[in-house]
This record gives sequence, C-alpha cells and structure tokens, in this order.
Amino acid sequence: MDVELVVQDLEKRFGGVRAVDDLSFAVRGNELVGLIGPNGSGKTTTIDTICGLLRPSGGRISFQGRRVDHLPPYRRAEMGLGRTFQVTRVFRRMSVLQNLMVPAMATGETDRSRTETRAEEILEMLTLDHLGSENADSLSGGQRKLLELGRVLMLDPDLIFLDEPFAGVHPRLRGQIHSYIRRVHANGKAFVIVSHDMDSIFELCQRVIVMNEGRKIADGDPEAVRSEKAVIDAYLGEASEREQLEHVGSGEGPDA
Amino acid sequence: MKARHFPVRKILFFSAIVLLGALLPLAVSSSYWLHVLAMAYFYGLVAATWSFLDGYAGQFSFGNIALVMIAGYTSGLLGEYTGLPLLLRIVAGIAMSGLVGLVIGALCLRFKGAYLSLFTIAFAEAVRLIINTEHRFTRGPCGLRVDGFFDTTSQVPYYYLMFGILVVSIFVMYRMLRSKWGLFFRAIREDEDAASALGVNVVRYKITAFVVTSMFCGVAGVFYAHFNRMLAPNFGQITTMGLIIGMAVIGGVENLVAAAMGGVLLQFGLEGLRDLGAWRLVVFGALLMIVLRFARNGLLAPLYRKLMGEEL
Amino acid sequence: MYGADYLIAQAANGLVVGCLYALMAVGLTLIFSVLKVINFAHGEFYMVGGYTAYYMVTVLGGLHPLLGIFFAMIVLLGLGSLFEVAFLRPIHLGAVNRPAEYAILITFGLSFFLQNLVLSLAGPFPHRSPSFMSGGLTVGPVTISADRLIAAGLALVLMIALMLFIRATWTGKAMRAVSQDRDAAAVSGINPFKMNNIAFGIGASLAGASGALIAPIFAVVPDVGVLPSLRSFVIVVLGGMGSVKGALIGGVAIGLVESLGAALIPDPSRALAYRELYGLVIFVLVLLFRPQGLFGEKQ
Ligand SMILES: Nc1ncnc2c1ncn2[C@@H]1O[C@H](COP(=O)(O)OP(=O)(O)OP(=O)(O)O)[C@@H](O)[C@H]1O
Ligand SMILES: [Mg+2]
Repeated sequence: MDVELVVQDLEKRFGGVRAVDDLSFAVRGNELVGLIGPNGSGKTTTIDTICGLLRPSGGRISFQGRRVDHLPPYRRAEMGLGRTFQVTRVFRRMSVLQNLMVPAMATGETDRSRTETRAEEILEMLTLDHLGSENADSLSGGQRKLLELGRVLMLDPDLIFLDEPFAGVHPRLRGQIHSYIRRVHANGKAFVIVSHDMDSIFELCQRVIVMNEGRKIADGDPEAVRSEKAVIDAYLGEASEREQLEHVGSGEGPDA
Repeated sequence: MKARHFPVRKILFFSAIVLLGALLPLAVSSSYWLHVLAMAYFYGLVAATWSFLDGYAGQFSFGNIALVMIAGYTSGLLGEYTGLPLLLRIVAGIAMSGLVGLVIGALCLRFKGAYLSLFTIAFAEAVRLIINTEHRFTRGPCGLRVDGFFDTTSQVPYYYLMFGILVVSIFVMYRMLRSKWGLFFRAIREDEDAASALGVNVVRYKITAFVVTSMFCGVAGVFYAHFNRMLAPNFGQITTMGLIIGMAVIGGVENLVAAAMGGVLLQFGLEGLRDLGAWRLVVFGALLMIVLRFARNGLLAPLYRKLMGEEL
Repeated sequence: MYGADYLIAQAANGLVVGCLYALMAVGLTLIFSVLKVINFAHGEFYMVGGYTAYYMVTVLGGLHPLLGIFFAMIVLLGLGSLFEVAFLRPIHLGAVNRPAEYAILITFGLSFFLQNLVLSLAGPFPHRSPSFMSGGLTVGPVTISADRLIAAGLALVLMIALMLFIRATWTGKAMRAVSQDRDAAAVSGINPFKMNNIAFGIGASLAGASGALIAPIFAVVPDVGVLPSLRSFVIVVLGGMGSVKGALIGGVAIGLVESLGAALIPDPSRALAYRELYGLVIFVLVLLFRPQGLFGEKQ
C-alpha cells in the first residue's frame, strides 16, 4: 500500500471560525512530513479531525483505502493512526508503565513480557526508565511530553501524528528523539510532525506542509518550501525573526 | 510489574481474613450479632461496587442502592406472583439489575461528570417513589415479605451465605480490575479522549463498568432480600446511599478491598452504637467530611497499601 | 376528564409554587456559576431554613412569621459561608485531589450530616409554622391562600433583588467576572475567594428563604429537603447551569408542568406521587437534546 492517508477538502468550523479550510493532502506509507504554520493556523485541529476527536464539518478522510470519517477514534487507532497531544494528556493517576500498557493492551497485545520489554526499551530511550513505577502525576512537564511520545509508540501505529513533540524537551534529548524517530521511520512507519522548532523540522522531514489560517499554503521539498514567498510572509519571516521563532518554539512549556 | 513475584503477603492477608470470617460464628453465639455481621457483609459488598464504579472507572453514581432494590424486588415479586423456583428468581433479579445498569451506562455516555450524579440521584428517588406508590403491586411502604433461603431460624447459615457472597464477589471484581479491564477503566477515568485515541473502546468499557457494578449490586440485592426476608422502599432512600458512599470513602474509594472493609467495619460499628440513635449518623456524617478533607484516600487504603507494598 | 376551571386553578397554583421552586434553584445556580460546584446540600439548607423559621416564630421568640424568614436567611448565610471557607476553599486553592469528585462528596456529606443532626435535635415529627396571614384570594375559579401568595410574592421580590444586586453593585459585577473567568478576574484585582464565599452564602440563604417561606404551607421534617433539591437540579439543568434567568423561568415551568401534569393521571394519590417524575423525564430529555439547557451557553 503506497498512499496511506488521503485528506480531501477537509473543513472544520467552530461557529464562525474556519479552523481548517478546504485542506487536501496525502501521506505515503513511509513518509516523514513536517506540518508547520503560525499559532492558530489549524494544525492541531487538523490532527484532531483526522484522528476522530473532532467531527469534520466537510470533506473526506481515508486511511489505507478506507473512509474513516465516521469511525470512532479507537477504531482509527486500531487501524494504525496514532497521535500525541500538544497539551499533554497523560493518565495522571496511573504509573508511567501503566500509561504505556494501555495502548499495547488496547490493540490486543497478549504477550505481556514482550510488551514489557518494549515498554522498558522505550522508557530507556526517553530517559524515563527509573520512573516506571512512579505516578505520571509526579512527572515534570517535559517528562510528560516524553511519556506521551512513548505511549503512542507503544500503540505501534503506521502513521503517527506528533503535536509539538519537542516543546519543553532538553536539546540533547531532542537529538535522541530525532534518531529514535528515524529508526521507527526506517521500520516502515510514517510521521507527521507538528512543531515550531524549525531546526528539527528541516532536519528530520523529507517534506513540509505549511498551513496558514486553516489553508494549505505550501507543500513540498523543505528547501523549496523554505524559499517560497508566501511561506516567508506568513510564517518564517526574515532570518533574524526565524531565530526568535525557534527560541519560542523550544522554550514553550508543554502546557503552552 | 517487572519480575512478577509471588504475592505472599497478599495471600497471607486474604487467607487470614477468610479464616477469621469463617471462625467468627464459633466465637459469636448471639444470633443478633450474627445477623448484624451478615448485614455488615452486605454493606461491604455494596461499598465495593461503589468503589469499582467511582474509584476505578471514575463514574460517580448514586444509583447503587436503587439497583439493589430492583434486584431484590424482582426476585421478591416473582416469588409473590409466580411459582418460579428461588434460584431462577435470583438469576432474574441479577439480570434485571444488569439490564438497568446497561441502560444507565448507555445514558451516561451522554451525561458526564456531575450530570451523571444528578441523573442517578433522581433515578434512585424515582425507583423508591414507584415502589412506594404502586403499593397494590409492591405492598408499598408496608413492605414485601420475601421467602428465606433456609428452613431454619438459625442465623448461622445466613452468616456463611453472606460471607461467602462477599468473598467471592470481591475476588471476582478484584480479578477484573487486575486484568486489562482495570487498566482501561482507569485510563477512561483519567482521560477519555486520550484513552480513545490510544485504541480503548471507551463506550464498551464504560458500559461494561456499569453492567458489572449493577450486577454485583443485584447480587447484593437478591441475597439481602432473601436473607432479610423483608423489603421496604425506605431502604432505598438516599440516606442509605449516603451510608454506602460514606463507607467506601472512609475506607478508601480507590481501593476495592479497603472500601469493602470500610463497609463491614463501619456498619458493624454503627450497629454497636445503636443506643445513640440518630446521633451516630451525625458522627458518621462528620467523620465522612473530615476524612474527605484531611485524608483524601480514606483511612484504610493507605494502611492496606503499606501492608501489601503496592496498590491493588 | 377535568374541566377548564380545574385546569386554570392548577395553572395558577403551579405558577405560585413555581416562584418558590425558582427561588431555591436560583440559589443553586448562583453557587454553580461562581464556584463551579453543584451543591448537593441545597435541600438541607432549605430544610434548615424551614426549621429556623419554625423555631424562631413558635418556640424562641414568638417573632412575626415574616421576621422568621429573615432570621432563616441570616442563619443560612452564616452556615453557608462557614462551610465554604472550611471545605470548599481548598478546591480553589488546589489543595484537594480529584476536585470534581470531592465537590460532590463534600456537599453530599454535609447534607447527610445536617439531615441527621436535625433529626437528632428536632425528632422525626413534622412541624408547621403559623401562617403569615389567614384567608385567601379568589378570582373566578381560582382560590389561592394568602400564605401562598405572600410566599410567592416574597420569592419574586428576593429574586429581583438578587438580579439587581448582580447587575448594579460592584460586588455583583465582581461575582459575574469570577463566574466567567476566575483567573482574569483575579488579575484585575478581584478576590475570587471572597466572591466564592459571598456567592455560596447568598445561595444558601436563598435556599433557606424558600424553606422558611414554605414552612407555613407544608410542614417541615428532617428529610423535607430531598425532593425540593432534586427539583432544583432539574430546574437548573432545564434553565441552563449557571443562568439565573434560566432558573427563574425553569422554576415556573416546572411548577406548571407538575400541577398540570397531575391532571393527566386520574388516580389522585398517584398523581401526587408522580408529580416528581415529570421532573426526571424533563431532566433526561434536556440532557439528551439540549444539554446546555434553555439559557445556558453552548460548551
Ligand atoms: N474547541 C475550539 N473551539 C473554538 N475554536 C477553536 C477550538 N479549537 C481551536 N479553535 C480555533 O481554531 C483555530 C486553529 O486552532 P489550532 O489549535 O488548530 O491551531 P494550531 O495551528 O495548532 O496553533 P498552535 O501552533 O498555537 O498550536 C484557532 O483560531 C483556534 O482559536
Ligand atoms: Mg496546536
């Protein structure tokens, strides 16, 4: 299967606000896509609609050749659509390990010891291995961000949406997460990464989609996108401004 | 969770409790106190169902006592109007509660949080009201006579029956909560959307939680009915539900065993202080508020955790 | 079937009790809008109000019945603010775990406590306050006792006073600000804790007032508050959680539905008992089809 996700004329309105407006794109089975755009441009809403948290106001969404618009979120998760939340939503009064076990058990994993090995491996990569039996409540903001990432990896989806995975995460760890994403990607998974951290986006992604005011304004090769005038006007701005943006992006707390 | 050790302490603890319960009738010869203990086991079971639904699945319901009543009256009324054998009536009572639980569960998909508690409190009052009003059919406030299990006036068999029901029910609920169900219940309690995005069928497990709880309320209800041999709508009033919730909270809502022990001990204590009349309920209410304010996890749950070295 | 006269009489009656229902519900909705807490002890505030008026008027002072209402309001104002400080403030200070569950439990615990306290102190037997005024008013087919008219009139006066208070005074506006956005209000110099306290006190005293107003009409017993509190839940859900206007209109609507609905059931004892069930049906329908209520904001 080559094309995994096809989004056609997607629209999501909140009252008078068109948060997502006539958006179309497709993600192939093994792509690493960056989704960027200014605050409020509709990136999170796009993810929410694709993964089933929000009902679209119009358009169609297909995944692996099937319409998924009317499936509940858990069915989409079972089919292989995973996502993290920009504002972290860990299961606070459950242990870190239990947090990871939920998606694994939900998708019918029965081999407990294999699941636990995988969970431990992921915790180690995220430098959370010493916290496995702690309540998620007691994690710091950045650690929760990492736990969210670990949780969606445990779901083992084919296409993973990451909403601001690097916000509030230490730069050194960011590099580690990059390489883990690459590794998972090399195993045949696709990613759509939303981030204001331009370095990460341009370093990781083979393709970048830019949104502004709910619409797609650019889509393609990172270098080409970077130099497109519309994108510069809407988002990237001058080089110096870009620096500032990155600063904001990486300094942003997980609950921002 | 890593190396799954053999839970020695837990097995010792539960064996001790079962042994204690089994030997108690040897020490307590008064049939009054045996009756009181059997009743305390009933409260322990209902408090545990409340812990199951609220403490684990995060659904705050006032409906447990109504489900107890529904099961009891189903079996009692079938006995009154049909010749159905006792065993079948018991099954029917439990099934009826499960069915009503299914409907409440389905409604609760729409009613979240406080709305659910508002709905269930009104539902519980409605059940009581109907039983009260349709007295030509239910015998109303005068009470419905129900046949007993055993052909004896001795309380000993009833004591063991209620104790056995409590132990078995707690064990079954405990196993459910230790399985992936318990994991999903808690995930739903913490964050429905996140659970759903991670593949948990929220609708199914929420309804499951309601049906399971309701059926165990039904178990408590039918056995209460045939043990007490009398049902009256007054038992289904909100005060009774207040006792049950209070027992679970004082024991520790987020721990099934602690909640059940809270039910047993407090009901026993309340009976022991019978001479104080309504004042003991005043004390109970005050204790409930103080525990809520200053010991949010209850009095027994932290002890239990210390003893076992882990939560449920 | 019933004639038109009967229906008109029932409607008039429904209108009158509806005002009393509304008064209690307005207190509940005020508390909810500011504190975001559903007060499960509201029925017991109502009950304590009724008892306070009864004892003030008959046993202690031999006060004029109308003064009894005033005292009931003062007592409940005090009780409400004390409870708020001791048990609800920690919610807004972030000092309790699982605040939503705590809020239900603690107010429910208070209701359990108060009911049994009054039962212990006053016993289970009904008490009836002396009436405000004997006689009644007859217009065409409708006769309404003076007590009911006075009670409904005072309820209306209190509700109008509350609305003016919220609209026109600084404190009222500050309360509204807190109800809309706690943090923003706090930043602009309003003390949200004080507003919580005032709102809870006023809400409790309105419940107390409605209990006191009804005391001469229906006798008080320790669990007299249970059904009125359920009715108040129905009313605020119907009117929209947090909407004072909604509670007023919802209260009158429920009053009408109950009295006219009674005409649907021929057997009078059933009709009386099942009055309460109409509320439940409305409750479910509203939650299913218009969860924000008539005047609530869509979430
Ligand atoms: N639940 C909602 N109700 C009303 N409006 C909403 C809602 N969620 C989002 N919006 C609006 O939709 C628009 C898009 O929001 P969205 O969160 O998708 O932006 P974003 O691109 O993720 O921004 P950011 O980079 O800040 O995360 C915004 O104008 C926002 O105000
Ligand atoms: Mg976003």
